Amino acid sequence: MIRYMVRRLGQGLLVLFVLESLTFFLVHALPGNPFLGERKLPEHVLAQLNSLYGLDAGIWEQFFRYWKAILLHGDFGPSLVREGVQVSEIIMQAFPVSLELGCLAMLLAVVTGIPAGMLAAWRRNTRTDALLMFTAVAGICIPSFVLAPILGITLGAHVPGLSVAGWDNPLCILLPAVALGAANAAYVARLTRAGMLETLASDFVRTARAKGAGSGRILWVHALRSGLLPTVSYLGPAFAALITGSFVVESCFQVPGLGLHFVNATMDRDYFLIQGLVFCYGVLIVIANLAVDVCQAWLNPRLRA
Amino acid sequence: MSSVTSRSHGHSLLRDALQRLLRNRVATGSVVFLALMALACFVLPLFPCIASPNLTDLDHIAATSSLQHWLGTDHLGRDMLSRVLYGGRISLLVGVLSTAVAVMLGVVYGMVSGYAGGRTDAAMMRTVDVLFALPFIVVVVVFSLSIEEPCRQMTDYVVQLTGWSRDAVAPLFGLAPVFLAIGALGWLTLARIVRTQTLALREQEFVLAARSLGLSHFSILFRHIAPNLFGTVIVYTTLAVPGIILTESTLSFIGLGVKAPNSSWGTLIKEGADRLEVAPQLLVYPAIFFCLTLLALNFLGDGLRDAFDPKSAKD
Amino acid sequence: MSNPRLRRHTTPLRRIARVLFGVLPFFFTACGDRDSSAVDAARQGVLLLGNNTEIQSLDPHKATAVADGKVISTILEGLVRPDARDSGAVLPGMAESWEAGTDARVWVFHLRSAVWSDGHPVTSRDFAYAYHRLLHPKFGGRYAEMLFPLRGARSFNRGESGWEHVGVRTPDDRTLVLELEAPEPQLLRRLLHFTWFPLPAHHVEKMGGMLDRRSLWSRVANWVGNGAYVPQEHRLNDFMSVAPNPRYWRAREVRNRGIRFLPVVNGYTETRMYFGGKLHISNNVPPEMLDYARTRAPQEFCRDAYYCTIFYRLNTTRAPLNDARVRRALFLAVDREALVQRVVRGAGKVAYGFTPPTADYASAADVNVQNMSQPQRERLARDLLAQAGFPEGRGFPTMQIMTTSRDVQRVMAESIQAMWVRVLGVPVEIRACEWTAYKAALQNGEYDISSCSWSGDFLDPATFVELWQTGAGNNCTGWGSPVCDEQLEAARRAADPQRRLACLAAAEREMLRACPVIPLYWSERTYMKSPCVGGWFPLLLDNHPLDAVEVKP
Repeated sequence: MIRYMVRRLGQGLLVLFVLESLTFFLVHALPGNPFLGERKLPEHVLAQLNSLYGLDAGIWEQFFRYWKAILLHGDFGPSLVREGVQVSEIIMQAFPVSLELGCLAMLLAVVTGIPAGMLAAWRRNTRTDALLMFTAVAGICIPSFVLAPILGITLGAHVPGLSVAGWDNPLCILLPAVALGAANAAYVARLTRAGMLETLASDFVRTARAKGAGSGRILWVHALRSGLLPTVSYLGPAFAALITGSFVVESCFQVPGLGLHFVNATMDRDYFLIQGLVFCYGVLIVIANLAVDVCQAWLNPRLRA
Repeated sequence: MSSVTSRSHGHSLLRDALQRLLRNRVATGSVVFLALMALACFVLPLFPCIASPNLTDLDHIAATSSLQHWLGTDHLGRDMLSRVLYGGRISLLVGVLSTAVAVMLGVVYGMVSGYAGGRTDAAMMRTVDVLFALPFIVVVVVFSLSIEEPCRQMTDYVVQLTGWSRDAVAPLFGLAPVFLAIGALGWLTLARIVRTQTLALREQEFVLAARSLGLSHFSILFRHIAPNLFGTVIVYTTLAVPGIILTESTLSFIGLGVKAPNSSWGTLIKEGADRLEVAPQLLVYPAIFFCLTLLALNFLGDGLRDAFDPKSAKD
Repeated sequence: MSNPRLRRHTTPLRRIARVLFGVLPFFFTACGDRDSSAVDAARQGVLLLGNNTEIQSLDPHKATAVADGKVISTILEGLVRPDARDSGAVLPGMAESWEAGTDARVWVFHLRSAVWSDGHPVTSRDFAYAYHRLLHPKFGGRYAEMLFPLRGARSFNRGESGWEHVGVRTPDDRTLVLELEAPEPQLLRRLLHFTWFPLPAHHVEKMGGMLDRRSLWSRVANWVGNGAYVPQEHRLNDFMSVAPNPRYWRAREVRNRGIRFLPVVNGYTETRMYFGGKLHISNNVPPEMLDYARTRAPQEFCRDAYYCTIFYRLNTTRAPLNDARVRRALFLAVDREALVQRVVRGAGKVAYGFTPPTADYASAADVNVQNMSQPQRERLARDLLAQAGFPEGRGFPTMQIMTTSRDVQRVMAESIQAMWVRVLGVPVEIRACEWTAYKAALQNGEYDISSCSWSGDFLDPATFVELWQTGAGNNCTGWGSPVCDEQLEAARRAADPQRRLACLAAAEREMLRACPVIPLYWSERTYMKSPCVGGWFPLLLDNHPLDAVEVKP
């Protein structure tokens, strides 16, 4: 297992390298530049700014310089829009916010989604099943840009303690977490139900049943293990996506997380910031997928490669 | 083994499945509903009783239902029913085409990766990791920039060839980059799910049996493993469609996707959400169409899953 | 302000744990009678102000955005400061008094004895240092052109001559002499802009020197300023707070105990936050929410005139927009009354001219056109289009209206497109671009028609009219006329304010006749203001001196 994880981490580094390099060329292919203001910038000022930040060099030179700074100094460069602020500072400030929001949202999704999915599978084709699945599909159909303002206007404005938007007291986290977790809870419920149905019909559960194992035991011990496989594959990347923030939810609730930076940096062509954020996301994806694979190996010994 | 037996009765499997599907009242109802919805979106606007979707009437803004405007008017006084139906065309098209692209890519990629295992699997899955972490907006903008010109030429070519009016052809080919972009990035999670399932399946007895019978990899993959993936794939696909349809609206706000003043369900819902306090009906009507369609789609998905489940055949 | 409720709780684990384990029900009841942030802050005397976007920098030479300007104006003070009731007036700031030469070409400022927040005296050299830095060719100041009225500034900025040729002199520590390129009777109004503020020369030198663009002198922790406030805490996309500066020369007259700027980009969120008690003054109520805000709180809803024009640029280098008749037809076919009342929901004034009218400058719009009825204008538009060779729009190529992805702009484009189709029968498409792509396309002239706005940096019609000089950086339409250029040049030479304004009006009339732009409306700021706020008056430039704003519980 240790050897497997070391190998996977090695692969992870390769993933990060390829990802970061691809992103480098993609962001430079975007139209416009970071210094493009609302008013036209005189040529000589633009040239001065470009040379100051090394953007006047050839693309390959910039590429090597970028990697050199990361590898030798761990330096992700400065923000080109908020001059004087380092990319790493921006990420360090926003990441804790997104992390706690994402964790809470994920927790909500898992603690509601998995039991709901299991219950629906166990009571297949009953009214409970129909009701649960109806709710789940409705949850998926309501996009976050609708759910977020509705939550804010209804609960946020009227339930004492909750707030419409903002980030100035500890309870502010609840509504954004619900808005972020709802769709994921629905996904998890649907996938869990599907996975469980698949396993409940499979031979080894039949065998267990034939041997006279009680229904509770079947559900928990045998079926859950492999029934959760699709859910777990979904959860890995979903978790990474959740803790890097969502632009819509953050902008509807005024949460100072990574999601806002992601979109704003792209719109402003803040090259170094986009790359820093993608790097951060890449690290999370690699870790999340590794965790998923380890989890799956534990859930289903057959997957141990 | 279920799969082996089903192979010998290939045709009857399909017939059985259809029969099972028809017996499922919810699923049949969903099929009928979806058919009616498609008909309404693609055929109904051809009749003169539906107003033009882009005809503004600034004197009657955000009106409620009336005889003239069954679903009222929007914030520029345009007929809401007509906008919802025209919007449905775009959204259904995006939903079907992009999903098709995504599912085909995801299933094949995931199956091959899981079945091959070892280094191939590792390389393929790490590629998915890279693609998954790429910033979506950046990719889409760069992609659409590079594909815009070919699409325009294609439109010109089709207009010349068929003599159809430009207005009829342009929206479809203008949307091509969107179908492709959404489809091309929408398959990643599915690929991961399929790959895991395949990993679990390939060690099962029926696959081992098939292998010992000397069947080719191709036929093992598509005849034995694929049917067993059907359930998960159909469930995930029906789950992914709303996301795909809504992604189109996100893109249309950065100039890709449907061009204003044309509408799609996603843009209508977004516009409605912005006017939530003032005119909630602008959100409610398109949202009802959208949700009902997707509910029907999900129930149909469940029905299909049950009907095609190779294991339920024995029940 | 050491307000424990406003302070952030930064340890995520503890927070999650607290919310999750059992405290939740307790919290709900405990918070039941808890006051909103706005009430809380009002009790502390802290103003909560919506500030639109996250600021770029506190360094006045790196900042360009309006949001930056609002913060910088509280933490630095220039020679003069704004009046709380009139955007056209100025009050003495760092300068106690001043006199202008007879032709307003040489200005002498006498500084008061004031100190920086670290105790160093503010001297005339701090001003000269700041202008030197912003104009320095090696510094890359993006707003350097704001200082171009100074003699020799333009050529110094281009690296063609030395700093010694620039018209800034410091005969002694308390006297600053500014020599201008041309007479500038409105110089004092210009001086309100943050590009004219001084810098703490001693501090900037210590922190890396004049030309160090990556210097950290302007970070909150290192800040030294001479304004009414000092920066206190800054969290990106969350808030920027400032606290009163005890060393400010008018420290006793500062009416509040601090300001918290909230960078809420999303206008819907901001308005909902206002009603949820999270703000005292919001920045912008989007048009879709105007009716709601107006009916829900008519006393708190504000609609102030703003020095800003909403208009369409036409690319006059492209056929058929190179034909003035076509441009004029497009101009006439827009039903502005309907646009302002129905689409923008009343947040503006119908515009037939370009420069917003002010006390000393009436609009240069064509009175005939203005007095016509809309059907008359439409008839005229059809005639013009027919004369240009496109009767009823036949043969007119498809034009694109380029907009940003902002909802207001898109909805406006949809309604104008419908008007053009209905009146003229010309085919028009809408091309929404994301922000930077839009700016790039506009500045490179890669568009047909583009949806634009322009707001004045200071109260002077020249900031609007000078756009249309041939080849000016922000013209972007490819249009130019010798008559217009001549009038602009004459305005620049005129020492008499009346004569100057007359020249500007003549230039604007010439521009409007040729119609390289379609003025639509003069924008108005719509925002919410809590009843607990005092000392806030409508200002055309929205440059409120925030130290004069009072917050009462």
